[in-house]
Amino acid sequence: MTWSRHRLARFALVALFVVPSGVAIAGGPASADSTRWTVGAMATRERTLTGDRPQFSRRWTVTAADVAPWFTTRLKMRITFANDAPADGNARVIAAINDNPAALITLRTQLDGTRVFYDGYLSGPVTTVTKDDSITVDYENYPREGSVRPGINAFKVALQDNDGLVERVEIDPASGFAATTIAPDQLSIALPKELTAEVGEQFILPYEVSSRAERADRPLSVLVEKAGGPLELDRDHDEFSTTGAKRSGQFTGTAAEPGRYELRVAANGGYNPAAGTVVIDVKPASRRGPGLAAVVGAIALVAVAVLLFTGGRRRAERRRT
Amino acid sequence: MSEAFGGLRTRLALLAAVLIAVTAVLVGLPSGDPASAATSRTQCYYFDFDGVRFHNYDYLEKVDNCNAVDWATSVLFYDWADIDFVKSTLDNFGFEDSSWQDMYMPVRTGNGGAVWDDDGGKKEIACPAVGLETRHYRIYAPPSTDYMYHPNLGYFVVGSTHWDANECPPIGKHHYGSEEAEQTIANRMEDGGYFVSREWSDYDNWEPYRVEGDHTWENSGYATYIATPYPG
Repeated sequence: MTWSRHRLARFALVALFVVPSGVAIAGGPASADSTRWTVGAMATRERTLTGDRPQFSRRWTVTAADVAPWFTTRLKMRITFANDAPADGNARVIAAINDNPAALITLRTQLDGTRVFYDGYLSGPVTTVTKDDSITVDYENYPREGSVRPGINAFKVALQDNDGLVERVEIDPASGFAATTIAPDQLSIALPKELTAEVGEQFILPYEVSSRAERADRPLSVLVEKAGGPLELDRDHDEFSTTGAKRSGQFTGTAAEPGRYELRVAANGGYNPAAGTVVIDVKPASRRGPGLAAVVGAIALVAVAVLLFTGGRRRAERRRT
Repeated sequence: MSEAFGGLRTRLALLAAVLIAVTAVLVGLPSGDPASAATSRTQCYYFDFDGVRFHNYDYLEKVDNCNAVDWATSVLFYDWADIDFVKSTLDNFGFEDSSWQDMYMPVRTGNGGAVWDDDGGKKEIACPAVGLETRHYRIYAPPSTDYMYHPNLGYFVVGSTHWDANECPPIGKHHYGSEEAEQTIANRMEDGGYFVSREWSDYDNWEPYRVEGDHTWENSGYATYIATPYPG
């Protein structure tokens, strides 16, 4: 695949990633300030989900002036597992804003405990296996675009637990959604589109990761992956304790055979992942001098010629004497 | 006497062979044969959308090799889609039987490198006997989360679709019809009240009608997007 082909496909996908969602909601009471709409102070019982009461809903009014470029959502909760949970059960806790996706946490019992896993744009991908009776989950995400609209907005949390895995889910008062001007994309990565290399010679793949630094700094890892092909790299990732505004580095590689190969470089800084592709155009090795074998051969030939010449002269001198 | 026993042994062996063959035809034993390698018409590649990644074909092995793909990626389930939810939903549309033959796709969500997911998928008939055929789908997402996430799509998974015929026993085994199987899933889910965007996105995996071993290609190159509604 060429870079331009990848770009074309990517742009096509970008255009077509925007898919219709259309869901409608009913009205309700208003509360909260103009940037944050959270569950707030409620009786614990009212914000606790169980098998008998698996749904929680709260409604807030968002004015047209409150609608920010972006919203984030948070679902903080304490999940207590059932004592008689089955050995191979599944459950999910989900949160929705106007029925649009905001949070999805999966629970699965396995031999070594209960596996709790999720992925959010702000909380990142998390997998935890626990044998404890309960676990606290603090999930943060950018909900589906367009979820929050002017008017009444419904924040719903639901426990889906047909297998009886969960005793109760206590929703933290801090859960809800908030307006922000900070875009999901904090990181970007700059890479060369294409590099030229020679078989057996080292090539250098530089990268530069930029952060908009609008959120708290987090450690950064930069990974390089091969998409097949005879490329050898000196290492497969770099680690930085902080991201700052900019981080740069380089990987070194060698290629064993001519051809066009792809390397993928991904920057992971705890927020949005950023990734890019570099095409390595590997040319056949060019001749650089005669090489060791040729030099040794040449020396040997010269030595043989000298021996023959000197031997011939000695024989001629003996005949003369 | 020994000749008599020898003849009896031969006859018993023949009888056993015939019985096994008849049982295999009637009951339908899985062949266990992997699908033949197929070559994508175009260069297969991956989509990378802000780091979330999936491919436009699935693969016979955990090797990113365009000469060993299985089928074109043809469906994407979004909004509330994770692997279990989509599979249990499609159970209600006639795809209740599991398949034993895994295929593979590298996928990536959030942070970290791409990982291979495998899926045997589900069918209308687990193993169609000679003269029978079944539609078959497989869906993929990182095993650590069972979904991919992007604010434009919500939680989503991607998949491939096709038909299998004559698999048990594999006499005249054949695989085909990825486009038809995609459209059938779209039709059934649309009839079931799901929001379906047919041929929504160009995945650049158009395959004209052509036969390649036991694999018959025919794919529009556009994937159908299916919204999974709020399940609460």
